[in-house]
Amino acid sequence: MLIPLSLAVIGTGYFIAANNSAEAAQRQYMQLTVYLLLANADINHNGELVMGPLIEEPRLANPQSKFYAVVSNEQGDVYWRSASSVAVSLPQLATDLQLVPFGSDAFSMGIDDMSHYRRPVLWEMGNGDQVKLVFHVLEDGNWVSQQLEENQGILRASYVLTTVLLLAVLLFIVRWGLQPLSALVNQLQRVEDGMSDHIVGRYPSELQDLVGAINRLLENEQKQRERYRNALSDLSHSLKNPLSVLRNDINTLTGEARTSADNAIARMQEIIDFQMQRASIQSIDSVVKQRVNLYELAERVVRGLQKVYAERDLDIGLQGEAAWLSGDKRDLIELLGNLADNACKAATDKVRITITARQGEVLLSVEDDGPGVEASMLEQITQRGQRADQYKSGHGIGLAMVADIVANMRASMTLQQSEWGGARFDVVIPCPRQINL
Amino acid sequence: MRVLIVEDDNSLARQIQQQLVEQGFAVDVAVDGEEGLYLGREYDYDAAVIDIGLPLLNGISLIQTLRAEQRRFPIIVLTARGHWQDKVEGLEAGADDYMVKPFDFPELKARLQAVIRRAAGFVQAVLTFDDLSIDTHTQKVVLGGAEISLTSYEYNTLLYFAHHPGKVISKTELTDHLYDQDYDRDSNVIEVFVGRLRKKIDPDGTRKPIKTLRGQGYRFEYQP
Repeated sequence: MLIPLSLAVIGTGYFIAANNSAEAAQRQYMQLTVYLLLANADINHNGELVMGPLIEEPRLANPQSKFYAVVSNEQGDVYWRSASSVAVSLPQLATDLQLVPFGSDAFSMGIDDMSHYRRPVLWEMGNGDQVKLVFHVLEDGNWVSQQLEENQGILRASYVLTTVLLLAVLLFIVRWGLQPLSALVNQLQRVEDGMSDHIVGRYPSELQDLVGAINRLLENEQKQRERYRNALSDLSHSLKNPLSVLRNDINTLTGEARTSADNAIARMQEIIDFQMQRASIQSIDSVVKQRVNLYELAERVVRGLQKVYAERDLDIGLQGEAAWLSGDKRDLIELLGNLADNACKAATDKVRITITARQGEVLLSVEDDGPGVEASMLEQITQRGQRADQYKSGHGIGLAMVADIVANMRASMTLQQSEWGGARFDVVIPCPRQINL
Repeated sequence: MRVLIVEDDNSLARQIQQQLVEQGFAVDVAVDGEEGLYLGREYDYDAAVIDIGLPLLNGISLIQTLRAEQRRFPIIVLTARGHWQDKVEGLEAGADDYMVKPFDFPELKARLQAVIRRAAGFVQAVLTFDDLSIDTHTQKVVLGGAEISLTSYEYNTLLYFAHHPGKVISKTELTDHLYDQDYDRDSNVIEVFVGRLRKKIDPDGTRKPIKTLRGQGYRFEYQP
């Protein structure tokens, strides 16, 4: 915005300067003509003004030249006029002659469409008398304007051309100058989309430090996450092993003591599971995301579940197509695993997982032919520890985890009845940018 | 049935071992991945229970290595975190089932029996051979509609035969699968068990379900 404004100001100044320069040149030219007239003028012994041949300025002899010279007295009475002005009606010459002192001059442009230069002179004659003469040089204003206009046309064209060229050069310089930054932004985008875990490419020395710092930051973030994950894993391991021992030791107890110990251990287990899994959800916190094909993850989960539920001879089907997302692979596999495992537990004979890639989102459907769950129970189920099912195993926190992951991914989940009468969970996961492979 | 437990928490490992032994399993315990790999390579187990978080060699790598070396016995992977990432990785590495800690021992036992049975090609929990049926859940053996009483070792010997019908089983193999590695082996004891078992599942001696192959061992003649 500033650049075009500056160019407009420069252009205006340029035109004013060009006009002033043209006016000064005109004045100077006319002044020289007056000097020529003075050099060729004389007053003879009869007191008459006599003018030489004026060969130095042929325009004064040419009636087509629109360039005229006149010598008058102070009142504007003409003593002599150039041959070029013979057929022309001259403007009033005496308008301001009294105001122009002898020895100085006056110039006006565009009055009566004429440029007019006049110079009063006190002419001393041989007998010592003085005659007051005024030398005028006039030029047809239209012609001058035309000349000026022609010049200005050229000026305007060259100004426009210069401006366009300048803007193009500026644009090129800006683009060329910003190219490394643009490449850096693209690389960061790739990192965010999970297509790379660090910034690659060659950058100017000014940006090398910045790129190095960003890469170190990304690396530290990933290491930090890994350390955090390992620490959680160790903590989980350290808590769960003694809990396992305790759980099996209380099998020797009976009656109320057994029930009470069972409940306490189940509660501890639930708290540990829920808090550990919740703490490990990565989707939002992580800068570096992964490029994940949800369909491929679903294939892995289905293969695993087919092994686990081999005895029940469940038909665990997977339909759909490759659906790429940027997110955390662990969270997505947790989402898939919990939904599909719950469906397997509830199913009588079959479970179906469907993945559909749509414009800007991916739809994941997990359905079974079990007894089904009321849609209004979704909120209740997804609360920690709430159970709306009759599953034989599981800790009831699976769906609460799913709800947390769904919320963190800014996805949405609905519960409906499947075509077989069982439950169908639909999860719509937003995928704002198309991830190119 | 001989089971390998690879668990770095000594208390938990010993507890599982003790409870499995009480249920008639022969159990070897390894407390790190490398020891687990050594035992897995050395002995032909009927099943293994392997924790994911092991020192020296993690559980996933241990399972991958055993599978790469054609060790086919079924494996149950134990995970403390219960993350699906761990479960899927364990199953992809070659495990047959998973269990999340803490678990109930009866469930572990049931899962172990199920994977052993599946590995032998049986889908149902009740193995049926003509008029002989073995319920692997309740450990009840029924012959001609009447339940017969077997000791723990007799039951385990029958179960091993039932899982390998038609296969020649040496006394050494039988010993390996019925006793853990620390047991003082005596092949005469096997002969006694087999003799008692024959009398119980073929009281009139007409069917001869367990054939002796001189110098080779035994063969369970029934087919499911």
